Amino acid sequence: MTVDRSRRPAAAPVEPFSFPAFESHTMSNGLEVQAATDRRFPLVQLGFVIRGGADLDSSERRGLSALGAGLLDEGTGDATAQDIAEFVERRGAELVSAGDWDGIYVGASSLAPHAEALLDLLSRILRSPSFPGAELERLRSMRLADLANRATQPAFVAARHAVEMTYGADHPYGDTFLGTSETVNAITLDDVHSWHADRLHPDRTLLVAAGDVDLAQLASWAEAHLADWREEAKIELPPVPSAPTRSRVIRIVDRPDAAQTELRLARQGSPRAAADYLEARVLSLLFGGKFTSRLNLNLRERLGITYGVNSRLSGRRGAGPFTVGCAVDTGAAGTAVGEILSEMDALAEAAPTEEEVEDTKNYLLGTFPYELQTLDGVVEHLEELVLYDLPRDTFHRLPEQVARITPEAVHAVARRLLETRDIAIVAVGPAAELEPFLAPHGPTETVSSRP
Amino acid sequence: MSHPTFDFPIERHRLANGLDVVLQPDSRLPLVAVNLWYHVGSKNERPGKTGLAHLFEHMLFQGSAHVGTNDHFTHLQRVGGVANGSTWYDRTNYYETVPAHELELALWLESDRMGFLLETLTAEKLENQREVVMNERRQRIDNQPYGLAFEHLFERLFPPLHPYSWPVIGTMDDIAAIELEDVSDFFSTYYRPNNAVLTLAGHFEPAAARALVQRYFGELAAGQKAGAIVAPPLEERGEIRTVLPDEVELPRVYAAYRIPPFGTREWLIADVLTTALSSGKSSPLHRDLVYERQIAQNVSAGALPTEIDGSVLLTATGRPDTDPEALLAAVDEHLEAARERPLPPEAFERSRNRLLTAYTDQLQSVETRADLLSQSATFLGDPARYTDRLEAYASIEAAEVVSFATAALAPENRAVVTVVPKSAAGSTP
Repeated sequence: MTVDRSRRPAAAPVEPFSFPAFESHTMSNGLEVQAATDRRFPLVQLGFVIRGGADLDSSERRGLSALGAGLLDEGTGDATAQDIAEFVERRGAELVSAGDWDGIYVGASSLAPHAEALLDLLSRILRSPSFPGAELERLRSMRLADLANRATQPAFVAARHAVEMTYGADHPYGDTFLGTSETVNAITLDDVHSWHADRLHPDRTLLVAAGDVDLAQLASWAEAHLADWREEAKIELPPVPSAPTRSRVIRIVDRPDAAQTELRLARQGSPRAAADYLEARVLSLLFGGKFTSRLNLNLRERLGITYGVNSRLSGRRGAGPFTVGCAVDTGAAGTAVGEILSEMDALAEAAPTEEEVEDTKNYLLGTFPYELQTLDGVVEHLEELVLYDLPRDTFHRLPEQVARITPEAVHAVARRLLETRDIAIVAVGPAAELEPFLAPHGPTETVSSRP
Repeated sequence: MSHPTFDFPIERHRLANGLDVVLQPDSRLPLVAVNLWYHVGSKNERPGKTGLAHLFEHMLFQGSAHVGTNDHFTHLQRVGGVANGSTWYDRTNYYETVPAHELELALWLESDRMGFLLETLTAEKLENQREVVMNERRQRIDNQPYGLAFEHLFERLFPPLHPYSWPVIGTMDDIAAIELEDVSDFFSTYYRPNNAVLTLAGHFEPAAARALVQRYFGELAAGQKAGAIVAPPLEERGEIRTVLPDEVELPRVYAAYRIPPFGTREWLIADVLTTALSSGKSSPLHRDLVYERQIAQNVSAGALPTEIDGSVLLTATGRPDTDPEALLAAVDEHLEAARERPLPPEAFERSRNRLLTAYTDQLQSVETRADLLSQSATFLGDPARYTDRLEAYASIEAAEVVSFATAALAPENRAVVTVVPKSAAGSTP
């Protein structure tokens, strides 16, 4: 029997899916403990997340949070950095201590039998890191080398200029959270100690575990290792300041020998906890956040001028950036900027179609179980609830909330988010060649690629 | 400690047209991964037309007889499918993870492009994707710091005309030279059911899945078995070193060694040894170069899973003022030690445990599991052999590691490319 290939086959009945169940317990010192039990693999992922990250760093000490977090596992009590690494790695485990815009993360993943020993270690590095001066100097010089290295990567350079133009150099979001060579050089050991004392408190902290573990086990371990972690001062996180909008400027970052031009367009987006965040996500996905987005179908599949173009909404505690980025043949840079601006104007002007909104809503919901296949994915979602103070049933209610989104609601966000009069545009490439291509799209300024 | 065991049943059967079908049911999440490996890659190209296998991969997303030009992704993304493809030396894979109730959609799409691609192949589509691929090459290689290092390295590691001596993405001139006829010949020669493995992993009922696979793929015609690639032998020759000035701030050393291919015990020994030497902050290379001497920003080593010949790739990035020669000499001290005496038991234990945890960790994803099963079916002839490495991690002995290191990790068996800052290149004699 020959199969009818002329139309797509009908779908089978939908299999039910829900965000994994998790249980919570709050200890007397304010520390919240959560467990999402999943015993299919003999793995446990543990994570401490502390609210407040690089968005609390002062502009003179940019990079303090990231550097401080990186120093947490470089010594505690009598244990040296190498003792800690050996303890973890002998067990086949991975340890992470890092910071980003919104938080500080100290976590470990391992086979289940090692979980308690790792929680003990994590508790010690979180509560009483020794911050050896020699390790600060080592990490500092590595961070400086890292920054020098990144300055040769076109995508990094473009992203840095785009946020500086969008927020201004003094705003927390006006640069990367790694800092600059000046601010990283300015950080002292005293700064790191104060950072630890000011930022790491139990009532700002969530301990989450996923995998082959349950809440009773986790709570008993936490009781043993963390019950005497006392709270002293309870400080609310200050709000992330707002930034004024600016008029449209095109900045050309001159790299005379570049084989290609890296483009970024940026505006201020929405905070993660905004009431219309889901509408903004749908907008960002259909505009430039998936392969079949308007931008990619135009610039890649119709014009062939880029390997890929995408837009991204960075949902943070404050209004993180909405960015569009791609790398194009330098000769096509003017066309690319023109097309991106036209696509923004078109979507700000007219609501997206019913079909593309429905497709995008289905994409968002359909990929949800895919994101939750791994313990890592589950832990990230649980952390997100705490970082942005979201209702605990946010992800359980996602299907009904997405179902309610209309093209009009997406359009309302588009009118705000896709405004092009004040957009920052960055092109990293050969300035002499780029200038005539870009000038028709707005006032240009040219800077050297070496700051 | 003992190894955890995983109870993932594997079923395998072959259709009359030769399609190798692997099923791994797992109903925890309502997802199914559909993964197709075609046993063709850049090794099947010839000089002058390098990049054909990869450009071809792009053409497989441009529609087929019953699927419109951009509709492959449209069909999948509108149901929440996640899809992609990739090209490598020995194989090209195409995969999508879809909600379980859309398994049939994925099979319809994959079978349509396996059976009915040429009907809709046009010069216009080829030109469009040629431009996309040229931009991909600029973005990933020509406009990236260190972007060209790997090409230089493999061009020197393998003899001229060896199929791993040219880059998978191809050279710009060759990409420009590919014609429509090359694309259609490539399809007719290699994109046949008897040159492919189809793996399904995830939420499905095996009998129903078997019937669907038969329905969509059963009627596709088998092709001639393509001739095997004969690679020039790897002759003994001395160490080859090259200095490559680039727009970089940090010097970086790339060293590659020729080893037996994926699927051999030696390859697994290389996996254990490179992990022991370089994985984690307490590994000897990291501890010595990054912590103690502080001449390196990072260091990594690993074995590449290739089919004709294998390789170990080692990279060490220096600090801004590191002398790359001194960095390589420091790395060499550790390789010499590995040739001279057994790994300390604790280094062995750390390596095994890290590999075991990483292995377990990756099995969580149906997409990764399906890809591992296709890999084992394609390269090792048996999907169940994806657990080979578990047994190897438990049984490899220290003396075997020394023998391997002595034979393979000697300077005369390697090529080295040192990338140095352009600004400093003039001042170094």
